[in-house]
Amino acid sequence: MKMTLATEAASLSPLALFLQADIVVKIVMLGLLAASIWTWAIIVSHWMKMRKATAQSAAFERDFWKAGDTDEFYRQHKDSEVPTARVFQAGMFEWRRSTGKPSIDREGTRARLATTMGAAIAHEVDRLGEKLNILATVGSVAPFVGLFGTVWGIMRSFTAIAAQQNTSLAVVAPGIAEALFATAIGLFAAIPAVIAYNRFGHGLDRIEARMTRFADTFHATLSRELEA
Amino acid sequence: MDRAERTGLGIALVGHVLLFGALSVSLMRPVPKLPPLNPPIDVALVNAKALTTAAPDAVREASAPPEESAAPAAVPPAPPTPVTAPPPPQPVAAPPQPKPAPKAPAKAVATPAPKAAAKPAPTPVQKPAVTPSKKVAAAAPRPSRLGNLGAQLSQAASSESQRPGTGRGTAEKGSGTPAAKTAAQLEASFIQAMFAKLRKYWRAPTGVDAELLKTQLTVTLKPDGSIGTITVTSQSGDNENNANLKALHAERAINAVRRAAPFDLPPEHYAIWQSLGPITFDKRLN
Repeated sequence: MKMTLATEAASLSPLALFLQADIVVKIVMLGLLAASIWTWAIIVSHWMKMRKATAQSAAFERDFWKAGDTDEFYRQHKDSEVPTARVFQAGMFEWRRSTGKPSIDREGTRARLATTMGAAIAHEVDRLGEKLNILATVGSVAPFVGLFGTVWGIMRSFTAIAAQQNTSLAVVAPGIAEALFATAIGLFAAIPAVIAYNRFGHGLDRIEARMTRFADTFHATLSRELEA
Repeated sequence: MDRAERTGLGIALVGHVLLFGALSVSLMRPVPKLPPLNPPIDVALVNAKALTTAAPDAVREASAPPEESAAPAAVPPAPPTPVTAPPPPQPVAAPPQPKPAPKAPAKAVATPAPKAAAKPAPTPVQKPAVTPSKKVAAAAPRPSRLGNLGAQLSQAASSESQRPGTGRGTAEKGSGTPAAKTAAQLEASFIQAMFAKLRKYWRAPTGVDAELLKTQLTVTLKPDGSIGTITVTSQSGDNENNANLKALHAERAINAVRRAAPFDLPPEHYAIWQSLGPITFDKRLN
């Protein structure tokens, strides 16, 4: 086995550590780097999406309660992509279908309205949180992958000791440094992922609560109309 | 992939490239080696034991003459004889200035003899004095070149030799003090070494007030560590209650010493442990 251990320059440069590493450790490092990039891409895009969704939903609700004619308002926002608007669209669609018939089943209409709006909320939450499971996966797996790279690299360092019959730190240190670098990357990817997953999970709960509140109020409004 | 995801991926890629680039550039530079704060100092570890380094010179020389005069050692005041050895300082002083030696011992022989004659134990004093003079006399012809220097130094040497000659008491206070002190320390350490062995054999008698009794022995030893003589120097702590135990106490003390013999003491210090005492036997023996 050929051992190329840079004993002369114990440099901490990530590039040097990567180039010194074994092929297995290199694959681990590349995978973890990709995971880190992906994590950050999700974090940035999700953060932007959530901010947009929250702001647009708040604006939509404000407009909705100000608007006089619900049918007119529905015509305006028929194709809106705003989460709360989607819930509103689902409710209005069901309302129209249920009240279009000559005899109106009030209890059945109320139940159907509640079900369809609940389904719309669940769909929106799913759509908003579709990438969060990736954050959770990276957050829990990346440390182990990094640890695997470290264990592999340290095993390789020990074979270097055995090959050179030399236990001096200069023989072992570069291998261990590059091995530990794998764990460092793993943690580097995992820590933001875990933090972002918890933060975004909380943000998602808040949006869901907001949509549920809106749906309940809208349901109450429609329910009053039914009795009229 | 919508706009937000593209933006996120772009930002993440750029961020990672920047971070790794910065780490590579700033950490690629080799760490400057700091010069050591203090220049290294060579350290040699020396075994600095006073007992083995300082004392032996004086004591060995002091013990040399009495070995030749070991015969009169049976006399109780024998132990001080090594202390009276004034010749040792002169052989020690001799090497740097060879000349004074011959004259000085000559005086040393002359002065101690008459004064010591007045003392009760002249024989041990004379014998050590004579023997070194013989040695020096043999060495005398060689260093005779330094005649005038020798005259001055012989004065100093004679004054030095006079002091020990006046008596043992002054010798212990004067130039002989360090040696005498070490000798006393050595003797105490030998007695302690004996105690370690004696404790196994010492059984104090039991009885009313028996713990108050103390017996002091003086023991003379032969060079092989066996017992020469054992003398009861004194007994104390007796009252009417333990008077009948006094004899038993002394007997057991003597027995303990006899059974503990021979003692394994350093032979080069025989002059010191030739006669040890007083050794105090009490209940606990320490």
